[in-house]
Amino acid sequence: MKLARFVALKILGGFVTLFFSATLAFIVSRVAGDPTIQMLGLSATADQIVELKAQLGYDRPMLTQYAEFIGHVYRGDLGVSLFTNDNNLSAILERVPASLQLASLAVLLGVLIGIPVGAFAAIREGSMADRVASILSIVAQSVPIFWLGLMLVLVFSLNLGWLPAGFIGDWRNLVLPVVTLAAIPTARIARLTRATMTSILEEPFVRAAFARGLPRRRVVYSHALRNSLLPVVTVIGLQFGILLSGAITVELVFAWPGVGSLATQAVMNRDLPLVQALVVFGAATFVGINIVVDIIYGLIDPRIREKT
Amino acid sequence: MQQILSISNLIVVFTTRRGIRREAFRAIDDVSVQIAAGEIVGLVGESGSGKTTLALAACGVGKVTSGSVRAAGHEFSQLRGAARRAAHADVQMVFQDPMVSLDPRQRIGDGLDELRQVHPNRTSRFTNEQLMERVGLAPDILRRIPSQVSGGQAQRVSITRATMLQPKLLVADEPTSGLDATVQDQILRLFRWFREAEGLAILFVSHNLAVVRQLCDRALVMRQGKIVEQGDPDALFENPIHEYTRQLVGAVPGKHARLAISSQ
Repeated sequence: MKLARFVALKILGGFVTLFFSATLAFIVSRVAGDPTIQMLGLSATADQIVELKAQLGYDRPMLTQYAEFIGHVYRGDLGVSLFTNDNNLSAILERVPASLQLASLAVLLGVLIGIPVGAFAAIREGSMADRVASILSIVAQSVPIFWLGLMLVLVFSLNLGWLPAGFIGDWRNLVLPVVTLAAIPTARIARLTRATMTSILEEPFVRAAFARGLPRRRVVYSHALRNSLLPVVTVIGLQFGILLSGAITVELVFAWPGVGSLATQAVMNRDLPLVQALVVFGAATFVGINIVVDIIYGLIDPRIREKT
Repeated sequence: MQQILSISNLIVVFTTRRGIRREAFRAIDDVSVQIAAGEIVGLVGESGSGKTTLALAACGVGKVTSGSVRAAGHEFSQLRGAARRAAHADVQMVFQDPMVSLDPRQRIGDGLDELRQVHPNRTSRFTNEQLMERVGLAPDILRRIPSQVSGGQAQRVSITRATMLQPKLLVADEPTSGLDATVQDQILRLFRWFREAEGLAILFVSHNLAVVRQLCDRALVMRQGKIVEQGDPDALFENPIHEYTRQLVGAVPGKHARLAISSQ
């Protein structure tokens, strides 16, 4: 029953977070400017603007609008787009599969490369390999994503002609965006694995394992690495959340029809309801992933469950 | 008598880097120690005196700069790979904090099984349940992870794990310092019992003179990497010859040091 209580507390916390993000989304979109002028163009008369405002309900007091918005959010109603009149939620959900594909492959690549590289660097702390890995991960985290994407396109699509430069298609269309998107998560996962593992390797239980005559491989992989992966799980979850709710740059560079490119359109059009919907959706995704991570965390490490 | 631990002229030097300057620090400075089969020898001294460094060297996991360490017939510095790992079965160690010397995510029973698995040619005469019973623990402990047991229970698990393959030498580094007095007493009784039952030789490292006096056949006093005085614990603490030993005796907590020791 402990686990049920744990999950319930996490979900409750998630709703609170969602409330604050929805509030933030509301405030930011009201501060961003008047959408009616944008919609009607500069030649619109004052009467037309007033009429449209009344039609959209933007003439009512802020508090009323806010209460209505929050109410709708909690009923799962994210409004309709000002431009297409489509339901925002279904417009977003339509884009999710494309983003999900990119995000999950990028995180998978990050895990498959990041964890072994980080573990290897920790075991050979201070070696040449460790230094090279650490420089590479700093570079991967500091290079602007759009630049990395453009360079990959330049080399592999335009010069070598090996891979397509974007758009959805078969697996070859996925390579460049996934690699670009994976750069930061890979580097973060590698750095964190290395950091956690170096400190775990100095723990007394590792020395104790050697003193009992356990083989090095066993000490490193089944004791040290297993204990180092807990914090890494969190970072994997967070990275996934970031990528899923908007890999904006990568989707723009590779003309990928995901949530990120929808967000770009929405902002360009000052489509306030859609921007709000995207912010709330992003927050909900994040909260959801966090809850999942927390539950996984609680499952693999009973010590955490006990503390709640 | 058969010598189980024979350390001769051991020197351990650590180098630390301070900027571009390298500084050498002699943690162990020409130390020789002999421990016979079935003997319990106490090693006392302040923190930083080199006790733990000596203990680690004795069980083949510490640094050895020069000199020789022969434990249970093995010269660890001459051994590599599988032979070295197998030799560890003869010389086991119990660490100061049992909570951090057990893998936090490994069930107690799995830890015992793992040890059988890596030393397949050493057989324990007991099942895991019997092992628990021997140290006065309930068998359900086997299914728990270290954070679900108390400090005293964890230390008994550590001792079980260190003794289950019937080593010839046990090195215990401050095994009772984190435990309260009753539990400490039980742990000490356990050490004595293993000596009687299995002829185990024990190097018992402690800063607690009262405990050493209660448990050990012989005591060594260590200071700045050297052994400054040794002998029968009672004689040593009643009539300390070296000034440092006198200070250690005087540093025993309590109103009157002598009283504190003799009341134990």
